[in-house]
Amino acid sequence: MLDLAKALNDERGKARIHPCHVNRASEIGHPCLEYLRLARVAWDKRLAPDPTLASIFREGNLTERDCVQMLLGLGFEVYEQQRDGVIKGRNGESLISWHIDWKTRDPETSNGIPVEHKRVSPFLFPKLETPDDLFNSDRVHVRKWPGQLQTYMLGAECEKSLMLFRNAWTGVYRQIVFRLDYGYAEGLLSKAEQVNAAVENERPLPKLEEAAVCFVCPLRHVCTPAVFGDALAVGSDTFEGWLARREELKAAIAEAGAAEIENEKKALDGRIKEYLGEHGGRVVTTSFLAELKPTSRKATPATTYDRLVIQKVGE
Amino acid sequence: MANTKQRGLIGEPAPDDAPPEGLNGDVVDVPAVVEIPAAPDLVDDEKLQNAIAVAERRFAFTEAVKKMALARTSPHHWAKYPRGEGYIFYLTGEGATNLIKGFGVQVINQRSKKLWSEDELGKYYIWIYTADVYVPVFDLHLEGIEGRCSQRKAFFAKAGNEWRPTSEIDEANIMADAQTDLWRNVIRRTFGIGYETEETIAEAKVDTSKVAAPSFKKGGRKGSGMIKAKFKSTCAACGKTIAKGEEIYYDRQEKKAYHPSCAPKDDGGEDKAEEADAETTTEEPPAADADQRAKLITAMTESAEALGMKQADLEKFKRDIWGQAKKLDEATVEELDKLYSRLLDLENAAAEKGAA
Repeated sequence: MLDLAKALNDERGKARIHPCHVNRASEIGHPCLEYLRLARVAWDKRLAPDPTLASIFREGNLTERDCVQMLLGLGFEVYEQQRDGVIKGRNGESLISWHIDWKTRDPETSNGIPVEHKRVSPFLFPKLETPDDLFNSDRVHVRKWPGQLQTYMLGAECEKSLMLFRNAWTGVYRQIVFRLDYGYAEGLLSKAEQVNAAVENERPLPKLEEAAVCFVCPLRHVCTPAVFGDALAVGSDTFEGWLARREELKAAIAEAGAAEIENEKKALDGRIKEYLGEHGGRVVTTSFLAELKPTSRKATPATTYDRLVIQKVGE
Repeated sequence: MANTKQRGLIGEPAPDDAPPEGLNGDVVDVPAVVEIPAAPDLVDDEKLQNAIAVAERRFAFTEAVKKMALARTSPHHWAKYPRGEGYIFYLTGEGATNLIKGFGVQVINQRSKKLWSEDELGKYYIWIYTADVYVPVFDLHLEGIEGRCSQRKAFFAKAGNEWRPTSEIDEANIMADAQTDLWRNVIRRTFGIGYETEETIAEAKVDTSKVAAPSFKKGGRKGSGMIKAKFKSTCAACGKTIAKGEEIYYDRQEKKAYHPSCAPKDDGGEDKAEEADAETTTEEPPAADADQRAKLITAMTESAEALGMKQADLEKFKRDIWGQAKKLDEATVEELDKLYSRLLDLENAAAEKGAA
């Protein structure tokens, strides 16, 4: 039976692991030093991307070519595609290798600007507006991107660089402009030196031990990190009473909509939030699990606040 | 006159009726009978009742947290495998790490080791990951929780019915699988969540229809496909005999054997002997050979009857083959297979003699 889908998926899902003998620009922004060391010394033990992820990477390559074609058609200059290089240290040792997608010309200064093309999930796309959004992302692969561009700017000797994001669903583009930050770039170079020294001396580096990062790390089985779940305290009977009363008030408000009930609920919310703030933000009792979740409003001006989330047993 | 007082035992008068001496040589008064006070109550009823109440509260709390943990899982945190008429639900590695993170579990002092063993195929390795665990909400400390994975795990080591050479097995996958097994065992030991019934999952409001049910490649140890018949049986389609060792199509779902030409087609008009793909990379279910044993025992009984063997003859035959007296229920699949093979040889020999 002709199975085109299987043949295509098998081809798209192929992934290879490549040797890594020099720190890479695409990895140097990773927050864990031990990961950077293991990426060098245990590259052959690295878990290969699963077929779905490999297919996503391939899709990114295809859309990058499509983007270049469109830019050329629009009259933009695209040159030095897939150019690579190595940033050397004071003693001539290789610190960080880099490999840019392409350069384009800044019309104001006529200087070259390295461009990095990223195809991103439609859920992530709206959250990427400023460089800080990348630094503070809860996804470790996004947190690596600023370091990647700073390395490109250092290596290619450019003051500016550009990250182009393409929404994977709609194809809509968004860009973030980065400027060379010498302080941050120096930090990356000293990080690379630390990793080089650790590789040469065969000694481990400090581990990040952040559960969200460690659980998805492709070298977690080599590193064997300690993992600490999000702190969760046990609430007192009084706190449980407040939560139970709050549920009653919610039900009453839904029925009658009375203002006094609403006021009592608001007062109770304040006390609950205060208790949570004093106990690490997450508390469990026999009937409820309550937590404060930091939430940001992307309105103008942007604000952040702690949202109260309560889960009842059986829900 | 010299002082010749004698010491007596405490409670006993001195032999010469003189008061006994104390430790410093002082004369002390010791009563003739020392009253031993009654033993104090070892069990304080009120304290015991309080302890029971505390234990009950802790149990209720633990059960409530377990329910909350189940409610925090999603369909993609589970895999389901057929068990009897329904399914058994198995928490995946992703499900375990989700609960570790969400419920403040601390997995510390993680270490790994590689052990070597040997079987008829040669040397193979086993990776073992061990860690200590602290769960603050239960104030529970556990040490030495393990996860393991062997190079011989069929999911990694087999392609169809064939064993892959060691060079084709990625050791990183074995290591990662052992570590994932550790995390699953952490949740199983601390929360009691690991294998759950459909009712438990549904009560937690997890949509069981969206839980993946892995299927496996044709010819694999767990999948339907072409194999060599392990014992004499009958084709489920044409009713004709299938000899031991004959190439057949075995439908694992229906537990039926067919001649290759009789293998049923599916609704799409495709021959079921076509290859089926593994759809997920979740772990394989626990093995069950009860069905195979039952079939072997039935076939052996028929063969013994055909040979005119009485029970005593069969018992002697078993002792001769196995080297010991053993019930059929206690024998392994390999032992049953060996016994059945010898019975078939006797049947064939008797048939040839009869034909001659």
